Amino acid sequence: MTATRHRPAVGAVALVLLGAAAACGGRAAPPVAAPPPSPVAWLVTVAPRGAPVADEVVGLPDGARLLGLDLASSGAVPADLGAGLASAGDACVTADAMRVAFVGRRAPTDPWGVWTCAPDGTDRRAVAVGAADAAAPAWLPDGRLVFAMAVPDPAPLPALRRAWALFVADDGGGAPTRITFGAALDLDPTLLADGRVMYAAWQPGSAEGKGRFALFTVHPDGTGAARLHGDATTPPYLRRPRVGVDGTIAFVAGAFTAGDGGARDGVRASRAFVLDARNPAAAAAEVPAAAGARVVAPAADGGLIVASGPTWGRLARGAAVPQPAAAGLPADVDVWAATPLEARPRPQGHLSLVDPREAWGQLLALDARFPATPGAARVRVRRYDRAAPYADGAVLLETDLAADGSFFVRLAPDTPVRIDLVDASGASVARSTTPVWVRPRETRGCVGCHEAPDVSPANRRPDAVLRDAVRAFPEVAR
Amino acid sequence: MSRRRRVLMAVAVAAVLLGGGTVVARGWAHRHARTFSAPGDPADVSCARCHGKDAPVKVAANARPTPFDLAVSPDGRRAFVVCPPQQRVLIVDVDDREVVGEIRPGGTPGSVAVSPDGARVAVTVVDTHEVVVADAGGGSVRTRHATGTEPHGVAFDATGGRLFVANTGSDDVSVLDLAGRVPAVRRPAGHEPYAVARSPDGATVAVVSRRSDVGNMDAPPATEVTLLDGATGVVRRRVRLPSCHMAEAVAFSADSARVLVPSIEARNLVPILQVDRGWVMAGVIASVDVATGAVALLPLTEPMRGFADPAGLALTADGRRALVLSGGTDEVALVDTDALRAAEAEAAADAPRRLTLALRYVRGRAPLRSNPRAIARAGDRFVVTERLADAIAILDADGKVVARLELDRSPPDALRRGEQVFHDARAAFQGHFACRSCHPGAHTDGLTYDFEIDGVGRDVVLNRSLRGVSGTEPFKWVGTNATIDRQCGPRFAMVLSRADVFDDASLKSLVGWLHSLPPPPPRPGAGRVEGVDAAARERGKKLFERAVRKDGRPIPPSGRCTTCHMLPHGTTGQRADVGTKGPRDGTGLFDIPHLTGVATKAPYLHDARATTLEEIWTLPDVRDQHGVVTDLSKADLNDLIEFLRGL
Repeated sequence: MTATRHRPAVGAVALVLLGAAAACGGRAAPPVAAPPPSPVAWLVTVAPRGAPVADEVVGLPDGARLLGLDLASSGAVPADLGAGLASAGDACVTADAMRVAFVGRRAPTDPWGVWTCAPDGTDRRAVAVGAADAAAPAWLPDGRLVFAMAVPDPAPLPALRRAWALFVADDGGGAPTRITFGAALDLDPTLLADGRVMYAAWQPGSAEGKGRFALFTVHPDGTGAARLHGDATTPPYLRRPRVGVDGTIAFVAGAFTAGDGGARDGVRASRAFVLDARNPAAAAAEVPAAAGARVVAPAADGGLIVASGPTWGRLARGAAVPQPAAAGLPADVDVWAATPLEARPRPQGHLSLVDPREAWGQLLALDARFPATPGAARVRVRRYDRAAPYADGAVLLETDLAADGSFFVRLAPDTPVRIDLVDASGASVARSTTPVWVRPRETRGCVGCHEAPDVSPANRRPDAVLRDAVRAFPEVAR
Repeated sequence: MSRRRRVLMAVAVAAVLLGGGTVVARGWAHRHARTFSAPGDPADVSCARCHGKDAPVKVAANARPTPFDLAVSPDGRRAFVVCPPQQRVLIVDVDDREVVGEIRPGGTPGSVAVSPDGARVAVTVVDTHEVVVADAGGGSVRTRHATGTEPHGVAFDATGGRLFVANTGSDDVSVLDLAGRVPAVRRPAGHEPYAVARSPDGATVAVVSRRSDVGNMDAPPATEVTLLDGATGVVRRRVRLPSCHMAEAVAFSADSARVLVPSIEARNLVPILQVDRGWVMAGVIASVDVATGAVALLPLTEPMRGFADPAGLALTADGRRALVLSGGTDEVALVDTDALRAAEAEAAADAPRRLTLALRYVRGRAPLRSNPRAIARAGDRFVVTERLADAIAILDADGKVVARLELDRSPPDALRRGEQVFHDARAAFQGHFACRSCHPGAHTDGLTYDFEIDGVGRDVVLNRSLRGVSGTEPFKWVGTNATIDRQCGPRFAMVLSRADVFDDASLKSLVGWLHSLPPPPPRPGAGRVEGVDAAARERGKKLFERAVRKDGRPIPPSGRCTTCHMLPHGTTGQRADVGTKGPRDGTGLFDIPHLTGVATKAPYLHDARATTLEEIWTLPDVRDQHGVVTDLSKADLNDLIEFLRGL
């Protein structure tokens, strides 16, 4: 009798939720064919109530489980997609809803890895399961996956223990390919509608102690990395961005907190924010009602899908608390994440010009004096040292700006550098804080220095391209 | 073998050969037709579709309506919709959403205007170089008037007694007194003047040009807006829109103080390293101050969302909202004109531009069907042509489609699908541009581009026309693409769209449509429409075909026009060095361009250094390397050019 009364409400909530945003990216584009009927409607990450997070970057506790729930069948036994694993969670679904990727590990002492499976848990494949931790998978439109993986670089932030970069791999294995070469903390990739990978990246800032996270975008081949959102007004610890089908971006953020080991070894991301879909560079709007949620995902109606405490649900615009989905979850668990298992528009693809056989990449600035460094006369390119992010690295090249302020240089690929502008006397007039890299055969272009992400260039042929690019080889220390 | 058996054997062999030949021919015909079809299509591409008596392509009796331009009667009850392939203008009852009549202008209509009293309709006829005036009620043609070459846009003056006609082919504006009291005059305009609008106060007529001026290819291009006195037809001001081109629509603000021109703002001088942020091009509204000529370029492209191929623009009755069409992303943008004007101060032309500026005045976008082109206000509603969907949509002021008139409900055939792919910007990263954005009408925008794949700053080359391209392989100026499939497939995705490669069906449809395109029509010399100088053309033909100099010395084959420019296409498909290698070119060997419609393709040579046909032979340092011409006089060159204009 109770079940009979409850079902319509569950169904109504399910309909709302199924029409809501995907948790791993989405876009406005021609729809894909609907997947065949599936008994599973939601993929929910649960963990024993009160369990602590085992790893801050991975963001899951030991014993987490990834369950497939059919809200239309309240009596159905949830499918355990991570059966046989010690921990599993953080599901992401392909645009056609035919494959699932998730994080898991076989034993509590094993590294975290990325796995894929069918929506019912069958056909499980190990994508990045090995010596290094891997986390936060997201599907690329071509069927590959992008995820974060620990790398042996120096860790810039003690609370996160290791350095991380983004990698791309095929579903089912093969050696992952590293695509980001920044400041050593590139996390939480997800897909924008235009096919770019959006991720959270730590940047060193202008001086010791001023480092912070920001949202960046990069093409799936590692080209064109650029800041999308994040400045001094944003909480410095910014994590787990998610994209709705209408382009709305949500993320959680918080502060660096002092811990037992000294300053800056603690982090907390407990506030929820939403960005304007048309202008993600603008200031984020905080959603107080979603405070404390580990992850928030935009819903199509402008609300959020929020997992919090023992349940998850839709947080309507202006509502105070999430509406519970109230599905058949196990007792005594906390819900860590909930992802609708539904088809959504496929993000745009990207055909790469990167050629791993090439030992060069190029950087073209159309006007390094734009918007606010009129006194710049020369550009100085320094190596960025991840072990000493605030130190001046070795000078790789220095060259005059062209008359129109442009410069065109050739660099070693996959190597972070920082760009300084100096005046005629050699004194610094601008110093980049964000390391830049180029992929093999990539020519990166920028309008100026520290330009806003919405600046469109003037229609001029830059003087610098009338000559060949200035080469950084051989490297000369200075 | 008896004679009878030999005869039987011969008959049998002949039958086999004939049958085999038929089978082979049918097989070839099927394969040929399949070039223009896609798997699963019925036999929807007949021989007659492309091979009429005016081969290679003629107007087919079953051509789709393809509604293009439109105008609405002053009372908002009737729309006059130009359907060029069907050579008619439909008269549509807006309230009842039905076709109630038609105008047969006697050729391919280009544009339409309604007289201020609503009694007459003017229709330009592109291929007869005329404008006809018809009765708005019954559609019967009353008078015909000669114009310049290829007339498109047309507008009545405030009295209804005078017409202003944009002559796209002869780069001028016809000012016609319909009563014949004043002789018709032609005022020079920009490059390919295309659209005309009269200000609400009747004082000014604006003519916008589709193509940018042909000039220094290292300088930003510019498109002319020609402002004429609405009463006298005298040119009052010429305004240049920096870096703009493809201006195909124009409207005045409600106070008549501004001319609003949807346009592409090109970044053709910037190496194509990325697509986002309008790096290659952006959609803009150019706002021209009629009193001062000051120009502001206000982006319609948003930070992460392109607005490709801006098309028609119309304002609400109070003038406070503009509805602007994107022919590439199939949308209508809702623009707050007060906010637009307030943003002008931050929209200086020819400077880096913040695309977030668009968010101040673009209140939203609403979806439409394939390739919306023209929009006109009908009371408190708007009528829109959805060109490649063969439909007319009726919108409210919020862009919502409240009704739609389907002019052709049959599913699109392969050629139509190919044309849709060509115009669809959603294939490019963030929808910033379509194939059509650089190839208007499948022709050329006449701009040079710097592609990354050739090396940044190297091999800067002129965009080339796609019309009449079938049979002129290979492609690219260095001739490295053997087929259109290759040109439009992965290469397009890698160096331009920066997104997915077209799927197989889309690519096949697109390539089939490109193969079906006829060359542009011959364009007579400036100032002449019907009066082609046949004698000069004949003299030019002899020069084109000559094998000896004027002094009787032989011209080596390498110096003869016909060696490389073998007619009918005017190319051998080979590459040649004509002494034009520049300091940043990787090679001096360039694909020999075909010559069909060459008069419409200015500028010339691989890097656009020749702004006219004559300059091909008169620029320094190319003497006699591009054909032997140094013995020719100015008059001879004129004859040669006249011949080329006829190709």
